[in-house]
Amino acid sequence: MRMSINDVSVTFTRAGSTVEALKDINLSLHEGEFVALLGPSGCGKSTLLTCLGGLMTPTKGEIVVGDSVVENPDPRRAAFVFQDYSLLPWKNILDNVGVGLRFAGVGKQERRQRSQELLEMMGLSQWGESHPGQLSGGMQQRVAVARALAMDPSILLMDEPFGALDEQTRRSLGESISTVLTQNKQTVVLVTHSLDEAIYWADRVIVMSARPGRVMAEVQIRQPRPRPLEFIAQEDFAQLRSQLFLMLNEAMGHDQQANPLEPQRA
Amino acid sequence: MKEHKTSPLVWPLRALGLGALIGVWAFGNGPGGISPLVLPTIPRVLEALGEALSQFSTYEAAAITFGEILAAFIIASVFGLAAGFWAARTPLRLQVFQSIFVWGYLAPLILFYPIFILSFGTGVGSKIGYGAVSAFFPIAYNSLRAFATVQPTMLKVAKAFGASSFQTDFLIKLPSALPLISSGVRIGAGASMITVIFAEMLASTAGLGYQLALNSQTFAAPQAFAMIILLMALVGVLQGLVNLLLTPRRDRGKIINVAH
Repeated sequence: MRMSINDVSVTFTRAGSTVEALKDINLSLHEGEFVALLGPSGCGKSTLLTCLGGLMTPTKGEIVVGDSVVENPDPRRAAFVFQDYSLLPWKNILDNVGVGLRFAGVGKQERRQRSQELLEMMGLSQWGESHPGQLSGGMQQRVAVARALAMDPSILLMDEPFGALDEQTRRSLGESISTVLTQNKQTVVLVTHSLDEAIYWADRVIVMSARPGRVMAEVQIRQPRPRPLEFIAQEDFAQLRSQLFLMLNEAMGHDQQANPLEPQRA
Repeated sequence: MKEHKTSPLVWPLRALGLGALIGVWAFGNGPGGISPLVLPTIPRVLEALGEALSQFSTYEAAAITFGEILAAFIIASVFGLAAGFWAARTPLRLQVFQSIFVWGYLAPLILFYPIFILSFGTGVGSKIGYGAVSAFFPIAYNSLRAFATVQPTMLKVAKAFGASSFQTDFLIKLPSALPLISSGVRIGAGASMITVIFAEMLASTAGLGYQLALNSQTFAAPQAFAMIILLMALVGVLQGLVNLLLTPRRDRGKIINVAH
């Protein structure tokens, strides 16, 4: 389903002072497109994602999915995968995957059948009766992806889904989930700090400026999805990485020689 | 949380502790020179216990005490849980009632026992009322804290995945709050047992606590000790029931070390 972000600005008050988080964001997402939002810390990437999912209303502008304006969360329209997994510790894995279906009033048998199918797709079929505490971080994140896919959403919103994982797990999990998402043909919006993640996953990378977040640049990644891990070692990848590195540097207001991945000095 | 296997030393060490208690008791009766009016001999206590167990009135008294504790505990649990849930719903209520529940939790409620006697008489009503009020505050306070401190990420999941207000309360907040509520209910169960037995001893006409006080006042030490043993057994049964009720089915029979 097509998504339009029209003149979206977000301002909020924190500790008595007004913070302008996003300013005049205009974007269009095509059906089945994978878009990565890349930008320095605090540039409003997650705030934008929260607005896209209806968890927050923009101060100005609107977000339109299909023909309707996004005003409230609707997991069938857009489902979230959070960085901290946010699985319910008292429920087993099958019930965690089916929690959105339960909220939607889907019967137990149908719910469990759908959850089991998704666990099989994620390579976790034997873990259905386990509890989240018994699974590794990578496995829990796969459960969180399955929970979102269970809603069969038009759009998948992923907020730094691999931020809490080690490099090795990120890579292998990235490859397997990328395959699943390509097969599902959902529109995906991924918030990330990682240049590699953005290039490896996305069809288009949106680079945002430091606060207030604005769209600074867009880069198309023309390699077809799903991409093999070997793509990371190719020359194209290195060139795109270098291009995005310089853009990110500029986004942070540094000169072109400075390292944008180092913390900003006062 | 880390699970531990039950060590084979647990039961021998418990038996050793019981043996040491019996040894100290026997020493007190013999070389220790403690008067049998204060510390009766073990055979004499066992004889009194046998006599008590052969009398229907003992079972009647046990049933009264058991019923009073159970009624007090159930009333306190229902009202305490409801009060904690209601008070945690808005920041204003939270600020107002948190201090009140803490006060009720820490205040010496025994000061108000005469009011229960005046209101309900010396029968079971005053014991149930006093026991319920004593158990209410720890349950209400823990429930309030439990509902007020549900992790924001859990609420975010509920909202993002389309939970209604009712579903958020009963499928997210309640199970998330359950560990802290369980602590409050355990404390409340202990409070209701202590206060009901104490109230029976202070002013009553029936129950095992009343029998214990009566035997103590008439210097019937073996009978008083027999009542203490019966009350300990009754409290053990009640604690077992509460544990069974509050331990999730999958954790039953496990020793969980929450410090890890």
